[in-house]
Amino acid sequence: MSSKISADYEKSVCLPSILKISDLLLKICRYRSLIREMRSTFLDALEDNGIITEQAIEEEVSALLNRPEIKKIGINRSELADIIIYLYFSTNFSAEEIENYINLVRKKDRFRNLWKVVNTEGVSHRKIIKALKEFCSIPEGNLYINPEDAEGVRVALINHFISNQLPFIGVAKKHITIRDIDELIDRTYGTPKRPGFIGGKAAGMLLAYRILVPRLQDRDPELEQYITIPESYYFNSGIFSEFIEYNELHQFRIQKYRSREAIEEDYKHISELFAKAKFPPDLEETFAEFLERVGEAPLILRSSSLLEDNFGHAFAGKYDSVFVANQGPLEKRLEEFIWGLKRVHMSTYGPGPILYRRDHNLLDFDEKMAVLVQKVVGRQYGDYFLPFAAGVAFSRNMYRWSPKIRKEDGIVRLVLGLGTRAVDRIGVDYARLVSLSHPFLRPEVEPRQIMKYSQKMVDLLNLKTGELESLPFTKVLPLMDSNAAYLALSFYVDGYLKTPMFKSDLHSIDNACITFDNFLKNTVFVNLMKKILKRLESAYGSPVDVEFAWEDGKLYLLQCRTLAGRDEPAEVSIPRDIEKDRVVFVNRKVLFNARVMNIEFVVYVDPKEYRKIGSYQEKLQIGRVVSEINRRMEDRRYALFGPGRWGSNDINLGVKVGYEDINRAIILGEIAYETEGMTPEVSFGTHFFNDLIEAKIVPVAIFPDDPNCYFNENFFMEAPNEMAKMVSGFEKYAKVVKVINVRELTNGLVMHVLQDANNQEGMGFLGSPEAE
Amino acid sequence: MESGLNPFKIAQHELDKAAVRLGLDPATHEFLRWPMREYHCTLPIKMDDGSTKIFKAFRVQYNTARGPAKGGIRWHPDETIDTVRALAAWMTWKTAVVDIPLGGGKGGIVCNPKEMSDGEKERLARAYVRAIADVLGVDKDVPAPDVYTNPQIMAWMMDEYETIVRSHHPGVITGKPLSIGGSPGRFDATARGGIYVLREAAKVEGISLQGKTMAIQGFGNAGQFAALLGEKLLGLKLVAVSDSKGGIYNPKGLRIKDLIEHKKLYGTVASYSDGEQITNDELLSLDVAVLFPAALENVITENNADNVKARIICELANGPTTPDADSILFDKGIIVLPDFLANAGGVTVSYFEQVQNTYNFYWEEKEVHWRLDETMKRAFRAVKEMSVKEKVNMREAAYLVSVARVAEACKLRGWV
Repeated sequence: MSSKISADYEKSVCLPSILKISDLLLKICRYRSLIREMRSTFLDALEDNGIITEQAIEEEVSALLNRPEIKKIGINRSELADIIIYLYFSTNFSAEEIENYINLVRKKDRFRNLWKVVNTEGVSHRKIIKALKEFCSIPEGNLYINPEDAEGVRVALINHFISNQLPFIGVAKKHITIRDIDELIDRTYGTPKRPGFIGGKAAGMLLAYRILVPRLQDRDPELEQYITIPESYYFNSGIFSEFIEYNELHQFRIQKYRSREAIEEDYKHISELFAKAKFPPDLEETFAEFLERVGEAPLILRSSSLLEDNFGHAFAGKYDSVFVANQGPLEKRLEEFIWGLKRVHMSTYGPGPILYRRDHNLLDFDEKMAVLVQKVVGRQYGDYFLPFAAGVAFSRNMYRWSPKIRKEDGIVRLVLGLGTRAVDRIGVDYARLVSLSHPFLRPEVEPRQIMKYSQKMVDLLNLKTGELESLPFTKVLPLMDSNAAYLALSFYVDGYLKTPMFKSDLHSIDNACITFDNFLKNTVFVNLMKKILKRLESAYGSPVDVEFAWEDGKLYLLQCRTLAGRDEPAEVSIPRDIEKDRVVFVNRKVLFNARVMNIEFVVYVDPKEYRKIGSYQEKLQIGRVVSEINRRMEDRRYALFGPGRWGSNDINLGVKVGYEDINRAIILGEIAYETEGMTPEVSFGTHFFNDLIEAKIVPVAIFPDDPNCYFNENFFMEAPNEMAKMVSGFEKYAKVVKVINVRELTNGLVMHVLQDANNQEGMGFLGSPEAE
Repeated sequence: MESGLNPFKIAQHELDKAAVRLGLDPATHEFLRWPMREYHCTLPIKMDDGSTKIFKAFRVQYNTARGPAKGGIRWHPDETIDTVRALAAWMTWKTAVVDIPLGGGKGGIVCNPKEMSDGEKERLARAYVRAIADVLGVDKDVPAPDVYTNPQIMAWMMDEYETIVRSHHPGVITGKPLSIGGSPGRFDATARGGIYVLREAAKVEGISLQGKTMAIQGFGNAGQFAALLGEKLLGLKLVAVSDSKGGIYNPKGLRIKDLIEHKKLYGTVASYSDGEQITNDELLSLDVAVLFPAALENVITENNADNVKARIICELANGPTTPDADSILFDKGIIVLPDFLANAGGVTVSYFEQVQNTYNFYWEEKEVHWRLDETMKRAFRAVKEMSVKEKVNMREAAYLVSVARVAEACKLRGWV
């Protein structure tokens, strides 16, 4: 081209328009079959943005058709109208906007295809993934498929890859987008032979994340800035089915219908069987590829069964989660990883979950296990790996020890290090309980008391040994950076508990106590958590609990589930006219309103006698006795009373029992004598406590030495022991465990228990049977 | 027996016994039975939720014949004027027994600090000072921390007072944080004072403590420091310790620092592995040279006093021995160093804080220690002399010494 012509073009006003329109035409020509639809979309865009109407274009066309130069080229009305649309569209929208409109049409096209595929009966997994990938390969842009249209496909995809539980789908279809599922598929491992789901826990985490950080609408910059999820991979339930099939372990499928004793007996051998069993070679290869992909990062293998975290059935802590350090040569890592997977799978057949399912009428469901594999949130300090903090948050705060505390603002159980310490009932250690309406109120005032009821040990992963360990915080915090100490600690100096006033205002670790005061005061945590819980509760339409970790200024969402609904009477009034000898106990720490009537049997583990037992083995036996009595109680209404903390992992603090050992009780009394030193910790938020709530067992804490409480020890001491009538072989424990037949003892009376949370008072008393 | 439960009636009863023994004239006796001044205030406080809450508060200046009133401020939901009166009387005797130039006082606010935010606590602290500022001052009445109040609250109160008087007066309140006029040596003062008294007692009685055994009931602040200082200053060997969850006994000696660390981690000494588990009652009846009750009231009673085998009981806790038990121990020849002598180290160092604030010149910790030593030594000797002279146990002797001192000051002033 000569320089003269070029200069003329540059002067020409038409040049930019020519460039734009030709660029547009080149782009749409790539999608010939969609050109008509694109044009119509462009016209809509012009109209919607008030640039030009169809009518005006028609008028322009009519005017142009009369011009001789137009007549000369022989163009018809419709062609001319198209050109005018292109012209207006290409000159009024930016390149990016044009791209978005083109992609919207492409998306609609692939969306129709996807719709057809997912709704085809018996369609293969592969075909769905292909259609999904085609849709998702189109850039997302900022113009979307109509949400009502999208919902149908979302439902089909969720149903295919995530969960087929209707209540879940009902909520998830509003929040989990088609692209979310595409991303999930990229991180899902399975076997081509068997499709599978990613399971309840993984589904719950994803859904909660998308409720808080939606892809499309209602985005909240604060939540987007602070909330994230750990790098996660989904080993779907097909792997589990394949493993069972490959090793011919079908016999376990019917395990659940056997007697409790048989299940317990078999479970002892299952570990050996699983150790010998193998995954098919192609799966082992997949696992190795996966480990190469993630590198030497510590992993947690979390159970994510189909039933788990199902709406209303939390299965809290029923199945195993396994930490693997994932360090060293690939072979070693693979071995560890495979054993971890087996352990999680194995727990499907444990007596705990099976009996839980039996209790909740879930036995007939063909339970399958998927595994959610996540990089452990945290940082490496020497050989140790841990997050700054972790815990569990509840949208409803039932631990209202002061009327000031608002139930609807929720509560957090917060610990330094791994969250295992927050969800298990841990010996003499305490998580920081943060009432989100009043984060700095605590039932203790004196520094010594605050120090006593604070976290002492930190759970962490030892990368060298590959073990989960608990170390004193005085050993762990000095390894972490000084900001961790500033946020987590207060110091007992000058006779009071002093919160560091600035980052270097730190004193000797020997005088330190974990209060999280600066973390709660000087980070977004409290407000963020309130917002998270409110948003989740409103999306799910029921109270929720959320497990989380906090690291490097970000909140990692680990898990979210709905809490089982509890029918709580709105108001309970404690009668004032009960004769003293009919009162069994009066308690002053009440977690929620309850009215439990017509208790016919009381099982009493005498705290003083229990303490006298010297050996661990003997104390363990008491758990067995309780468990056996519990089993024999069947449908009889019985209340269980005993020392300190039921289900604690420290046998000196309470009888060692699991949920399945006490599941038939309707009252679980925890008696704490000051002199015996057994304080029933407020275990609100532990898995054990959640089980009680779900099973509608009412926990009652009794402090006989508290002048405001009353405990009629004589009632328990003087009643004849009917244990021998119920169980045999445990005669030697008759001094410790007593079964009281209330009706027989009192000539037909029964025990009633009332709990009034608003006034923080409760009472157990004898009275005539009442109609339910 | 209902009046027996009223703490002020009990305090009056103790005084009555001393007055009779001292042969006080009726007017002096009657004068000492009552507080000289009481202030009752009603404090409206704006709460965080926008509401206004009304708090009842008291300040009692029981007797100021020997100097400005001195005593803590208690924040407690069950606070009553009679508790405050009784404790103010007790402070009068305590400052007199250690012969520091102060009277006795006490304050209280009926509130539940468990349910208050820091902001609400600060507003309450400042309102209290505003209400009674006229009667506070280094030469009138000097409060200090007590139940549910702490150095931070003292700092707010001092600041409010200084804002009102528009000048520096750090000595208006003691127990402040070190950085704004607190005294070094206050942290272990109670235990240290007790150890000094114990040393004097052993000297007078001709008992060598070096290498002998001690047992401590209660392992909080006072108990832990008693263990450390007993070992360091007197060469005592700790063989048993207990707390609310039980105790631990090792005749070969317990490693104190290790034990403190254990208590910190597990909240109790009972689970300490290097020794055998014992109950609190078993600890009290151990054959040791020195027994420190450092936890609760009424642990040595008529039921177990007979089993006590310790040579000396050094009462770091308030009221660990019941009056009936006192007589039994006295008859058995056990030396009881009574609470308001043995644990007066705290108020003595509070006084030192006030002195340093007034001089605006601050001492090294060792100076606090030797001055405390001198004070406790003198106090012990006076009580011991009285005990010999009047043939009474050390507790009664301590009452006699202090009541006589206060009575004398009232007389010299020409009040009675």
